[in-house]
Amino acid sequence: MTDTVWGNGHSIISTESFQLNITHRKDGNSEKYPDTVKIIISGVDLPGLSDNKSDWTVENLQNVIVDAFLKCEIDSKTDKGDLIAKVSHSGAAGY
Amino acid sequence: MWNSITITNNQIKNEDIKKIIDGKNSAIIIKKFLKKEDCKKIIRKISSMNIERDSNKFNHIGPFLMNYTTKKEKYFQNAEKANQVFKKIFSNVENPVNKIKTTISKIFPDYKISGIRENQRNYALCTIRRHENGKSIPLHKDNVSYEGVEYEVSKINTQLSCILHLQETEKGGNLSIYNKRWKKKLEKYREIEFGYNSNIKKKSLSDTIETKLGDLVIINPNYLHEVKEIQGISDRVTLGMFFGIENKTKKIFFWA
Repeated sequence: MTDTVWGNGHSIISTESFQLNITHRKDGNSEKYPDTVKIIISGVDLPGLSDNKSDWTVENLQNVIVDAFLKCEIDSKTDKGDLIAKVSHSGAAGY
Repeated sequence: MWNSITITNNQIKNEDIKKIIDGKNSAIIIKKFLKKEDCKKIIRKISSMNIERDSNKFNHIGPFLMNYTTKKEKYFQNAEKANQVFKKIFSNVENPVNKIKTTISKIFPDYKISGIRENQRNYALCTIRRHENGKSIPLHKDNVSYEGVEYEVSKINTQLSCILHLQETEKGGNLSIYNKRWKKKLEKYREIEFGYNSNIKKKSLSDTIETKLGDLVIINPNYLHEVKEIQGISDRVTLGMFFGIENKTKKIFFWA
């Protein structure tokens, strides 16, 4: 099962990475994750952000990611401990 | 104290709407907006039709745009289907969606009601939501300008929410609205599945609106709100739709 964490985007590091402040962790994750992690984006499902990585800009990511509540489904972890993850907008509505 | 404005359909004024936009009042309640008989007919009609629900998770008729924030094509496909279903549901009653639009248009005589289309597709006219015994709606806001940025309707200046009560509960199911306007910084208090940690409402004034058959409730949905647990055998059934005011073009848009 894919490990998943949730939290708020904090700062944009590059056109494909950002710092996440983790607020929630899925029960059953294979490991504990620190409160702050660098996320390298493998894919997105975020309103206002194209699926095509080459369209992304730092400004674009700032608008969509900073302070937003995000779900990160972790594909893998780099040697430095950064998380490569699919990022989506979490639980917008529908009740 | 934070109070609602209780009114009849022909008394509502533009100033009342301004009061809920600015947070001076919690809500507008238009009493007996739709005749009780018409509400009952709608419920009977829904029960007699084999209507596909919008998702397996919720017992709702019609797509809710916020469930389709990145699935625009699917939203419009489902909206088209649902709008046909709504026509059938309202075929033998005073059409509540049209009645709401007429009421709002009278409040804004200088604004044009826009039949909003995006790529020649129509938005959903409304959603009809059924919440059963034990269900509640967690503390949340609705803000299309934030979460619906991929849709043209996100460019409006102000979003208001209309909730028409089609079936009362035996007990519970009241709407509570808090004098706390959503800001992006509140996203750090989000819950995983939906809504916000209830601690953020604690110091805010609030108002609770009872579900009364046929009443139309208008709120500014950018103020945090929730629906308390429904109790008893009578489901809470509501018709919901949003309208947005665009000042630059003097247009009013409706969607769900």
